[in-house]
Amino acid sequence: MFALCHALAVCLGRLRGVHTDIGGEQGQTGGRIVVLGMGLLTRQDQATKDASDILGRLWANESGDLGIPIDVVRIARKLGIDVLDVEMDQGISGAIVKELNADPMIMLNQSDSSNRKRFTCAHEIGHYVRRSQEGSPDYAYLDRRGPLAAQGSDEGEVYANKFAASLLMPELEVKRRFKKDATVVALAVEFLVSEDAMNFRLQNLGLVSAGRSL
Amino acid sequence: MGVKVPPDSGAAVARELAQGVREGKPSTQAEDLQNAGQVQILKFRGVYAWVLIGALVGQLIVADVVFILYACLGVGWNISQPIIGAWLGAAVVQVIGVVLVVTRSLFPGAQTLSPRA
Repeated sequence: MFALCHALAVCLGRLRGVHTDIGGEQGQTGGRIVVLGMGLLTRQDQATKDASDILGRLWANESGDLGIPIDVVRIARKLGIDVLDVEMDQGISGAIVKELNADPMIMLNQSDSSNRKRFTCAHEIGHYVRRSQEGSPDYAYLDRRGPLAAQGSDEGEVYANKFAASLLMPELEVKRRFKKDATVVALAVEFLVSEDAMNFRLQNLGLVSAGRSL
Repeated sequence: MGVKVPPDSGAAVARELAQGVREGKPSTQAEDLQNAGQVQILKFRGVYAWVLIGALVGQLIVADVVFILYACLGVGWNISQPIIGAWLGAAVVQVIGVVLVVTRSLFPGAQTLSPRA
């Protein structure tokens, strides 16, 4: 069964143009494809699914509707994470620290804009969710600024970036609003994210082509 | 300023930051959207209130002054009742209109956040 899954994963990985290196258990994979039950999910797919689960569990109302904008600080607190604005170096956007027998703590750079802090907070929640799935009791992440941070190839950072985008800009909600001929600026204002983040999200969802914005 | 960042020491710096916070490094609870919105609304309510009071007082003064000038320099104090009614009525309607627009449009009562939030 595992061999069959592995073969399928390799095929899927080739189709998607990514490398596969399956460790066999969720949370202990060295590569980008994770075996989950009978399905095969890339890390990015997994991040999208996890964000969707969190929204459904902690944010959607009784009828399943998502209120936009998403309040990620509130979601973090519902997960038992303390979220603080802290004075820190300008080169750092935020950090998350979980120590043994202590609640996790997200620290945001207090001098950042509120939209920037929201994205950082969502990104750190992504680290928390991923490490919680792995059952890690002790970890720490520091997120620095700069283009390398956004284009990072580190598996955890890729997951956290995708998770943050999916949490703040849920695919269905973005597509629903995009159909109404909304501009990037209008969408960014509605979702309380930066224009760059919204533009990137629209490109990733295939709603606009790369290098072109509305 | 905060902690300097040497390369490839992310986790250590993060732990150092957390340790600093636990030991009393200045920090505040991050505001969620609802609280941030309330704080902003309260802040701007004060500003708008004073600006509005000033504008409305100014408007009433101008309406009265023009009315007096109209009476003194124009047609005299023998002003017909419909003109007085229309003049002062228009001033009152303007005042109420401005207050209604500001209070209803700028400070909506309903929250747009999810009910479960």
